[in-house]
Amino acid sequence: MPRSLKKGPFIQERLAERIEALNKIGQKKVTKTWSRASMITPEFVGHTIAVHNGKTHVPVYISENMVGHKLGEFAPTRMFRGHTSGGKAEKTAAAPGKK
Amino acid sequence: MLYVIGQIVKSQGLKGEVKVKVETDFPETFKTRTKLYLGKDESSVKSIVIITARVHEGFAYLLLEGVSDRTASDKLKNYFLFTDDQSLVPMTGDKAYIHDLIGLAVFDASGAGLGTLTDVLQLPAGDVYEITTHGNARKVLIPAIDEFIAETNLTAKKIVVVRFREFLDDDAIAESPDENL
Repeated sequence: MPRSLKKGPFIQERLAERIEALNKIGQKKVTKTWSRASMITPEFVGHTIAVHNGKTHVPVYISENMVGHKLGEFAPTRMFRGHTSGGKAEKTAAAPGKK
Repeated sequence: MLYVIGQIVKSQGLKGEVKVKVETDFPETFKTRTKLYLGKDESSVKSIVIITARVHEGFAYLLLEGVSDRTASDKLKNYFLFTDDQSLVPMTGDKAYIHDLIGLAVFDASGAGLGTLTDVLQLPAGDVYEITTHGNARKVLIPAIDEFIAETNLTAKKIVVVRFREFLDDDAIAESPDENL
């Protein structure tokens, strides 16, 4: 059953306060959180939030298309690294500012 | 140097075709590649020619030269398919092979050495670099986006990271886990 619309989305109060404070001063700083259940709102866009996955904080850069999802969706608690050596497979990754 | 592009998981049909778990970001290239290397590991490979190839639902189905019946294809279960440096798909734009990125030296904007890129995690929100610092060997995760990675130089084997300190645990704005819901 979905959350009641009357209540609105859940966002941990302190996390919302911190994002609001950063927005007010126009600063961006990595914010650590354990609140995986918090929903991403438009105020979060452009910030980087380090979401705890049970072991470590995984940095998640919030983009527009993440709005409405929960933080925990972007920090998996289980990471299957594959049976073959990932470093030696023909796999690609982002390389910003590549020269 | 050889790179894994797939692993044979089972035989397919009675005519010697094999089902291959794709380990490459370019599965369609199975149709154009004609020569591959086959072996249980990188040290014991032999060259093999692909006769036919098709890709379906994340798996490749290959008919290999010299493998004409089910008995022969059954013997190839768990074997890896490799390609060599020359046959890798050329990288353009802001993309690079993970094996090229791993081992790059990490510097900050002022040129100070920070550590080494030791792993690349492919997460739902995008790729994340794992950087192992020089001194105390801490592992720091940094999103692979323009905002944090100013430069990736594969020829000089280095990357330049900005705002690195924010990712060190002590520096990030943290809330207490006790207040968590």
